[in-house]
Amino acid sequence: MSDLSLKNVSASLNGKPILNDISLKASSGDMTVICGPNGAGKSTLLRSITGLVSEVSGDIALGDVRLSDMAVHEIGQHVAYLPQDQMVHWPLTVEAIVQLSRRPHLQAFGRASQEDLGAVEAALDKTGMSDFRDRPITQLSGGERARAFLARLLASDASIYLVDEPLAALDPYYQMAVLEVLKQAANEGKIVITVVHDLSIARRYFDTAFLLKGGRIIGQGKVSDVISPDALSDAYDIETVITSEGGIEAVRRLK
Amino acid sequence: MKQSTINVSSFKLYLVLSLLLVVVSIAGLLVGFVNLPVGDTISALFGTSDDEKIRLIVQEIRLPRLLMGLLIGASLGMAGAALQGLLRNPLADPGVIGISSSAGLGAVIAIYYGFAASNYLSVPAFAMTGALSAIVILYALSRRDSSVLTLILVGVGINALAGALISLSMNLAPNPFSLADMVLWLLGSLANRSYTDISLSLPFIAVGIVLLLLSARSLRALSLGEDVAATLGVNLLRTRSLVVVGAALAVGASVSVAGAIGFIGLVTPHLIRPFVNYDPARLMVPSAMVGAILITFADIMVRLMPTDREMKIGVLTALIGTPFFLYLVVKTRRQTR
Repeated sequence: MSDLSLKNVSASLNGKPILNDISLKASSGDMTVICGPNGAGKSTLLRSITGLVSEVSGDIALGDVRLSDMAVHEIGQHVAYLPQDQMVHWPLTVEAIVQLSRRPHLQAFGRASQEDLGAVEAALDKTGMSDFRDRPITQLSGGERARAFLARLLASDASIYLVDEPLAALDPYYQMAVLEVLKQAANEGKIVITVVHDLSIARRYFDTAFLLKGGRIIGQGKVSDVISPDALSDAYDIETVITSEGGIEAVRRLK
Repeated sequence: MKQSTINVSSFKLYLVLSLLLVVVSIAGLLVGFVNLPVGDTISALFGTSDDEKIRLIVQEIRLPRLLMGLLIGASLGMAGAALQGLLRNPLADPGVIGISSSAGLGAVIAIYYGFAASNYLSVPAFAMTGALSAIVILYALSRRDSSVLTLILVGVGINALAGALISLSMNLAPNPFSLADMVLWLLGSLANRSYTDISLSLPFIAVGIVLLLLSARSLRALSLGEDVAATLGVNLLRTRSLVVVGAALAVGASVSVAGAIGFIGLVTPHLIRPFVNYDPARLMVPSAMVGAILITFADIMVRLMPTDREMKIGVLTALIGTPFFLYLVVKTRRQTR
């Protein structure tokens, strides 16, 4: 399995620099988390990898496949992207949304092959959404929708999952459910990069962390090293302690 | 929000729509100023009638009118479905958002300034250019923001501009034809259409419909927004171009022969959506069929109305379409708030 590597990536939005000289590596099998204060450039970083940011420089490669030379719709074969606040403009069924991930593989006239159907089936199964397949997405709760959107990622053949703040607005039960789906994907060899705001969750469920501030990486490595009181005081200007109860660590804020 | 879906197979849907199409077409041939018996009408249609008068009425008056209606209904219905898909907005309609009036502006310029007299293709050409400009402006101003309000406000702007420019061109026209005739023509009508009108508009409408059909699968992916659609392999530039040019050809060519018949493109997709699981791709062909059915039906109604002069079909579609439009505005605004 190959790694995703960014070398000296800088990006701007409408002429305003957002990312500054970012170099990072994310390995398959790892749960990689990106943390940082609002406006640090986390979403832009994910969008740069998908090719959605037009003003971008530097190298982005998956193994020896250069993604930075491809058009967005070609990168889509390698990358599955779930934006923050995913909108669905029509009340499509869960199954229809999951099937959209097979779009790059469909045969003439959009017919699905046995392989396409199998991938959709497996994804619905892994996310526990099989019983919801015929339900319009607009009738689902926030947590059910989150799982349906994850099913779309799982049904794709992409080797990189870019997931932007999937836990916001979810109750603890669904937060766990989402993290477990992502963890399983990582165990199957996917490169999973997730933006997460909850620092305790980042420490507990992820392996590698990148801490972003002002468009630069100010910390990277194992989560336990990166999400430390020192680094957090740099990034967020807050004072924290790491507490441990029953073997479960939590990041607690002092000031 | 509550969305009701009605599960029917595509086969059943197409079967029912085909039957309706046949029924309404036969009715379209039977209804008119002169009452013709069914048997005579059918034999006249196939040229086996001895009565030359009946043959003329059916073959030269009612048949072209019917065919023109089917063609225009199909193009407006599909253009509405495709525009709603591209703009991800259930209120998009060639009439409401100013595409038809811009096409009308093109046609008025062609007719009033003598281009139509020197080259018969100039009316559709000008109308399609008008439609194209309107769609490009509309898309540029509303693509980043799929809110209903933005679309409608931009549409109000384009409609107002096109209306003002139509008045201006009529004012300044070097050869003032009857203004009343022009205004009535702009309201939209299928009366007195000939095979020439059909052959003039058919090629453009056909190409327009093919372009719109090519965009269908990308419109489904666009349900998840432009960014995600792009990562799903949608070439956004290609999709936009297909819909914009396809709708401009279909609507422009329709307006150039029948005036601005509104609301068909608005109402049609809404009638079909529950039957296709709200899928923007599966919506396209049934919308063309329902558009054809609705317009033929409306054209029968205007002939049945007990008015001294025949009511314009565009007036009827507006009278029925406007309340529906207002209902949709309220409903959609409530959902998105």
